[in-house]
Amino acid sequence: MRPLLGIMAAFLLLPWHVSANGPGLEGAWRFVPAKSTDIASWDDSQPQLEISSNAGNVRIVRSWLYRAKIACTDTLEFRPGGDPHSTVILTEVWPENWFMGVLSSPGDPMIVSGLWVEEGSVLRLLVRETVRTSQGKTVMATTADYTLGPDGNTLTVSEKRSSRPTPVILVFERKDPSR
Amino acid sequence: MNRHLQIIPFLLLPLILPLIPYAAPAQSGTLDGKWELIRDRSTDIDLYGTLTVEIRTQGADLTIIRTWGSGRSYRDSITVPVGGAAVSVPVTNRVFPSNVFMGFMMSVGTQREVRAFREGGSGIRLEESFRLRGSQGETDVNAANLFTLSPAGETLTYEIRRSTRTSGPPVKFVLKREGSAAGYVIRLEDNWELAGKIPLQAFLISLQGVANKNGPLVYLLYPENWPFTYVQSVFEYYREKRNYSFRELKTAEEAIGALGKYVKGYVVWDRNVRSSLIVAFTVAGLESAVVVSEEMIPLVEKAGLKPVEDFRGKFEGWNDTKIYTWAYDKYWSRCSREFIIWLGGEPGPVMKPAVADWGIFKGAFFSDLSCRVTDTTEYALSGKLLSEMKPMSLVMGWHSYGKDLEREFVKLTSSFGHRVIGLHTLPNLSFSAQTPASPGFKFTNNHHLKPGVTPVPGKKVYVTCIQTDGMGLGAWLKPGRGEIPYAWEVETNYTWMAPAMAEYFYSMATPNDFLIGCLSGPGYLYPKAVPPVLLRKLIAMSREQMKVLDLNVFETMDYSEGATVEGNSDLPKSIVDMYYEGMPDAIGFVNGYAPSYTFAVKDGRPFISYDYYLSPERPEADAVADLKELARVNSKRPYFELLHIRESSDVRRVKGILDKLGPEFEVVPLDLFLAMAGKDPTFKERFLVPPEKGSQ
Repeated sequence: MRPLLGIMAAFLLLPWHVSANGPGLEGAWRFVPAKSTDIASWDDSQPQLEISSNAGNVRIVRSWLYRAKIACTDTLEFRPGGDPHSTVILTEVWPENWFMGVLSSPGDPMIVSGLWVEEGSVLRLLVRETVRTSQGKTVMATTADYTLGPDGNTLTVSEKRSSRPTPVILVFERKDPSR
Repeated sequence: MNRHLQIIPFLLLPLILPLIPYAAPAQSGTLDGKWELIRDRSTDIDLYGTLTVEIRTQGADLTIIRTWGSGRSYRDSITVPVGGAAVSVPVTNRVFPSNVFMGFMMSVGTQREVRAFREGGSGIRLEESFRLRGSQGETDVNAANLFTLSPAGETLTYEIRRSTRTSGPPVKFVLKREGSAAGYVIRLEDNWELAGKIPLQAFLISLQGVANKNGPLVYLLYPENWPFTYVQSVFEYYREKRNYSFRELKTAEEAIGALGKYVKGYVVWDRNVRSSLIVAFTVAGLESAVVVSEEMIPLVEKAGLKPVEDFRGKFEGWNDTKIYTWAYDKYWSRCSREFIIWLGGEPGPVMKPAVADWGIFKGAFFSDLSCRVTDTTEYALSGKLLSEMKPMSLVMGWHSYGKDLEREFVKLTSSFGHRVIGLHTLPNLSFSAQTPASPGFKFTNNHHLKPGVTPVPGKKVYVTCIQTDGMGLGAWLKPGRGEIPYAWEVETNYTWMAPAMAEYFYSMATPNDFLIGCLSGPGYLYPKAVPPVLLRKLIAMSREQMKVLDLNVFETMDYSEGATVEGNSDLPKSIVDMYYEGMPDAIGFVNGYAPSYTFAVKDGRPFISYDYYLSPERPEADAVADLKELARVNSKRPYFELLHIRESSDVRRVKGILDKLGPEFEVVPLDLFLAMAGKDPTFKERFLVPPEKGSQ
């Protein structure tokens, strides 16, 4: 069993994205509004993504740029196929849709888990977060599929919220395609 | 002088001004006097084109002089005892003046029999019998000439009923008192480039401001794409409903020719230094001068005007702080302390200075200084100017898009308790401020609540819509208004600043158009930034204006701590309570611009923040999904979903979105929405919690 455990451990310690074809989902991603659902951003604020891995954990940093400054950032960190990971919500801003009367709920947990639907190219995240609305707190569950395009330089995020009748499609392109 | 005594007259001004009667001739209220035709509202007069009527009463006798035409004219003067005694008048002229193009003529040598009767205090009936000759010979004709004064005494209607004319529209002429409501109109081109037509536009706007110091004389017709969409429509209203006659002035030469008598000189601005034009507007107000660029000097010299100031080369190489400091040192002591103009908006090669006529009319100081803290010298000068204004002054115009943000501008003005009335494109105020509402006109809102009946909400999602940014901008004249319940923000200062224009909006409103007061005070301000002692007074001022305008819902907005995204637009309980106490007759309050998160209810009166902002670009399907999602995450019923609609969306687009929401949703008028929300408030009370002292 030891050799097998060692192989498994070595596999987990390897960067998850590594593949013969390139860096996978890892990297910095720029939003492409023309190919995305209208995201109801205020004053053309834009999301951007930084995806990295470390010792088998995936780290997704979502930043929203407002007038060239970062208005808010949240970080989702989890091990694909592993136990749900809980973090504490730090900011009131719920950046998904700034035209809706929904706030994040600082101090409450955000629970994230994920799994590979297709190893290296399709990652599914499950996020449960507490939000606040005019009627008080409620839990919102989101399933988000991160799908790498065939060229390796396009990333499509399809977010399905438990509360929303239609998915939100966000398309990104790699900031540095030469990687 | 006691500071409060200084404030009181200014506080009362908005209340007193609407009560000052329009300067009508002494004979208003009687038919006596000279009356001139309002051609657009009258039956066509074929040959003569126009008509004047003069009515005189002397003892029991009545004299009526009808003059058909102006140059080539026909005058008919009759004196008759009132009460029915007949007077015979010999026919000496064959002309049948009201219809020269018909084959009729009066029978010269015969007699007209005329009788006159008073009809109450506001009417005269003149009965005539005469012989009329047609191609087949003479016939007897009876004619009743009815002269009727309008209830307000502003117009006289003259109707002719002839026994021989039994079909078709009535022959009716509407006349106004001679010389009353006569003005000029000038059309402005759609070119606001400094390198283009701005010299001409600035000249005409300054001429308007100066001329209108002598009464409401000049109305400017801005192009159709002007941000205030009502310019043409209000012009028609003045003509058709308020009896104005306008003579069009088509060129700068014509304009200075007709209005030069009101102008005392000219000030030359430097086309190489944009801000010199802004300073020139200050000079124009103080000296009753027009502003001209170098090429226009021959025009005004030819009109006999002399220079009062010449800024060519004066400010070259100076920054705005230095320019406006110079202007402050030279002119500030003579400028108004109640009105100040921020002539911002588009920066650089474009300027849209429509509000300048008002600043000239009021002798205001003009600038476009930055209100951004980090622009240290401009910010300091802005603060100095504002600190020397009377409390609760009006800051008219708008911030410069090239220097700072709206929220920085309004935060600074609010910190002195001043009120902003936007925008820099606000047109024709020097005219509108002097044109009162119709005598006896009462502002009546379209209320939907029945006295003593509190509506009980069902288990539904109730949606209501409010348009952003006031009635003058946006959708009022666009398709769909009246098709769904919709609320509109009213600039409550229209009570004194543009009363006839307020009447225009009120008289156009459909039962679905509900009007509300705004924005945080009598003018735009951020309550968190206003010193509390002044905020109470400002709320009281709003309350009085709302009474005049029959408004019972008030809107607040506060971006002094940033917007929804990178700050908060919420209010602490202490300020919410101030509105509750200061506006006891308000049935509710709405808050925010984009979504905001202050909610309260007191004695059935809710204070509700916007739950959704509908941008004009948001695709309909996404907007529908947004509204449905909000109804999912707010799962209690009833759910009160308050929408703020950007003014550039028209009502028909909004209806298209709301129609797709499904049967659980019901679109209701705002007052009904608030009454139901007050009855069953499913929202959670929430206020902004101010940071504790000493904390970041």
